[in-house]
Amino acid sequence: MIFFIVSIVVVSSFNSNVLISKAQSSPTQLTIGLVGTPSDPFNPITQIALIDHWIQSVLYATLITYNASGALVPYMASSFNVSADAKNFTFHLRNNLKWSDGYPITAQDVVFTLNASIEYSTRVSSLLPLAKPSSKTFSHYTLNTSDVYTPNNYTVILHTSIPSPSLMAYFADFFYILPEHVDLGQNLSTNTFINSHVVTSGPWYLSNLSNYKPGSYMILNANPYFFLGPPKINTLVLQFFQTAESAEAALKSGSIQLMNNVPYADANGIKSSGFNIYVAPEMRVFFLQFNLNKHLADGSYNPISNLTVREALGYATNISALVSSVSSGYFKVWGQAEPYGMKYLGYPAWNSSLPSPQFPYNITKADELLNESGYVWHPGAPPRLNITLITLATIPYFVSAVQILKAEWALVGVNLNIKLEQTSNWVYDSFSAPQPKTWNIDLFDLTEPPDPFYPVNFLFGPGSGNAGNFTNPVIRDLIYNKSNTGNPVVRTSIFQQIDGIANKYVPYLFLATETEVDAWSTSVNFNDGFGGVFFQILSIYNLSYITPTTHPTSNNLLLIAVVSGIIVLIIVAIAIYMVYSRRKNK
Amino acid sequence: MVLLKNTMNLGQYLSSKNIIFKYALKRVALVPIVILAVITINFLLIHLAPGGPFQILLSDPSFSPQEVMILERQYGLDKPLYMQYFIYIYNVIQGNFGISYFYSIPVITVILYYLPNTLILAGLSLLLSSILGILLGIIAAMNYTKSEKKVLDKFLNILSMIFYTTPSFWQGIMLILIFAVYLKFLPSTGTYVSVSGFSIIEYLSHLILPVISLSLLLLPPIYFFTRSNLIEINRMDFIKAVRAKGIRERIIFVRHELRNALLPVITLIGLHGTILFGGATIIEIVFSWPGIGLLTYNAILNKDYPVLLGTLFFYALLVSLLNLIVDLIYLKIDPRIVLR
Repeated sequence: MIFFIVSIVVVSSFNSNVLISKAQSSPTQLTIGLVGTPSDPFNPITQIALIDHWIQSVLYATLITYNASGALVPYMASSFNVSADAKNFTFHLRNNLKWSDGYPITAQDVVFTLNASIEYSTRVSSLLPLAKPSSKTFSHYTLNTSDVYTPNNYTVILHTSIPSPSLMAYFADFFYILPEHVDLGQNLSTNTFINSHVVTSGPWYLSNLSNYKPGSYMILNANPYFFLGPPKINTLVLQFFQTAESAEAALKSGSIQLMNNVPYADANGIKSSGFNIYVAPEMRVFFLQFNLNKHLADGSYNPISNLTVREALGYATNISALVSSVSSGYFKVWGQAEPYGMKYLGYPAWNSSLPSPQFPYNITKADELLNESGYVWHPGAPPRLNITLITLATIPYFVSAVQILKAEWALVGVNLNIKLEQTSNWVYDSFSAPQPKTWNIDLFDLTEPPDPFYPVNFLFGPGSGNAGNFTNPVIRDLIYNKSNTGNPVVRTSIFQQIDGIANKYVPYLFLATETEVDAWSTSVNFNDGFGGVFFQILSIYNLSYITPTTHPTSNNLLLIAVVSGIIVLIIVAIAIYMVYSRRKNK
Repeated sequence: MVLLKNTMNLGQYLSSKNIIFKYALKRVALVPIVILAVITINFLLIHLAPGGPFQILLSDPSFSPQEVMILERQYGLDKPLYMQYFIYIYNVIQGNFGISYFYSIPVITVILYYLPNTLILAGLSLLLSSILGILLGIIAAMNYTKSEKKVLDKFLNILSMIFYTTPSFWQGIMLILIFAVYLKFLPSTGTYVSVSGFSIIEYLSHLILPVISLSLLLLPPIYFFTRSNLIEINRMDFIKAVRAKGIRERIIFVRHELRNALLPVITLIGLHGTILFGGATIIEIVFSWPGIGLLTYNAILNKDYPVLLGTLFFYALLVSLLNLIVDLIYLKIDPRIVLR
């Protein structure tokens, strides 16, 4: 094999001008590297993987979307209205909407999608305010048609019996309108990539099913019927990689021009290599979850159930140093459930009066609090507390973070037993296992849908997400009764109150809001700026020209084959010669 | 057959043909038994692991436990384990491997899409490493038996040992860094994007680095086996006897030395089927090559039981078939095996 490698080196050392391919990227072709494997990128109903969501936002349009600052704006709808009680929602569709096959998009398509989403979707709970029970459907729900009105082809009015402000986030983020004229009668709970007919409404579309190679790539063409006008970038290639490192190598070699989610540890290196970097706050928080049960699953006493101990651990943690270390400085230190940047209808959902970090680093204070809790200790003595922490072994910065925590807490006599777990075990131990759990502390991050209701419900409500068993009736009343209002100012202030109350009980030690780091080559010029998390697709849509670049192709393959062939022949000749020449020595 | 004819009378030889047929039949009959055992063990191991395939959705705030239950019901995961097992076996016998939880399409469709890519990658690597391993083994052995200083032999030994002891994923990453990132001479990944029509040249250029990487995994053991067998056989008395008869060196080498030396090498290649497919998994991940190894890796990450069981079934089938082919080739080269 070394001979093949040698042959490539030999060939590449002849004359790089001859050997580097003359093939160039087109000024209207953009290749984006995505890390992951799509499950079913054409059917929003069966969507499970995050990468599917990204691809669907290219292929399909939603009624409303977010602008670059995260505020809701009309998209397929020309205007929308939410009543003050959050029970009535009106969407006026643009009158020039067409599917990629030229068929007009109407209010009937919206109603069809609502129905399909309720009957088949994996996210039916978001649409329950518009549903009624049914024994005949896959989800056991069906659309309550009496709550849906279409006075004309371009208007959809929805009515719910209870205030449902979270519907807006669903409509902006997940509600991709489907073509009734194509999908009517189809079983939408199954995959569509085996269908021959993929009709979409977004800026790019799949012109031919053979342009999608599962696990490899997808070639999309500009949709001539896109309602904002066809994009200038005629061809959008989405190439799939299994690891971020593979995507990085492709970016550096020129095979792709843009990649999402650059690993934090590599971001500075990519930047210094001459690539552009964009850092956007993600709707994701990174935190420690404390088990608040008095006892663990094995019956032993759980010291973390003591509020003073939790506060002590907060003071014993140098959060700024930890966060900076694990994210190469790309995370924002943050002390509450709503990530920095989260908004509802344009109003910030986070509590700006809360300190970040919640507990400033102070090991003297931590020591005092632990002594006060009955865990007296002096340096050199055996640990006063043994605590078990579980986390995911598959995420490098989680592993780094727990190592730092172990070192920091050892300074105050707390021994951290770290259990690094594979995904399935961790999910089971964190969420599925019955209360009380086996662990004291769980470190993880949470990707949050862009509505402040979801994180507080997940973290402070009674669902599986609240694995620490945090029960607070005041907070639950605020979540389920008070936050159900259509008034965005009132609604966001409710969530701010929730964060304030929760922080007093320290069920979680919030560490940071995470960021998404995207990188692109100098051949791509985002004149109007790159939109980060909310505005990526429209940023790419706004691109007009890519500077053509050379990238490696295989024009030199023949040369490699010839040189390799010669080397193999030489090996064969040597072998024959040695066999024959042996005779003389015998 | 030469050796056989020399050691048996005609009656024994004819009856041995019947034995050979029975032996071959026995080997073929073993394949489904092995596969059933593999399916059963894999099914139990996978299903006894904590958590279910859709439990991962519980870490997403926009999914509720009720939605997870709906999905589990749809795929029959709410049934008792023994019932799930018998349903699965019944379906597999009928060629139905179920519906993928992740891709929402029949498992066989997914596997048949990914399988050819692995067969191409593994096949080319096996071919390349076998040819080069045997050739280099011959060169090293000849150098060892002929030369005083054995410089070439030592050089090839050290080189092979270096490749043998470095992990294949590291070799793959190094190849990418050198030839794709720094020299920009070959594509960094195995996937080929055919924007303007399929090109076999482009396709092959994307295969070069993964094939080299996987071949580096198999070449050293083949090289070492060939070399040591040739050296050992060269010292044996029957070679000296044949040589004393004045038979030409070419005939001695091809008919007696090489033939006998390659018997264990062929067995080794068969046994390396598992290493080949295991190595292909790593290489496919490093190079994002859409093969069955990558599919298995993703099935494990996504807890996609039907795809995982389906890929493991095909692994078992491929390795069993490879071993069967090796056994039959072995039988052809040395029919005495049926008498052992």
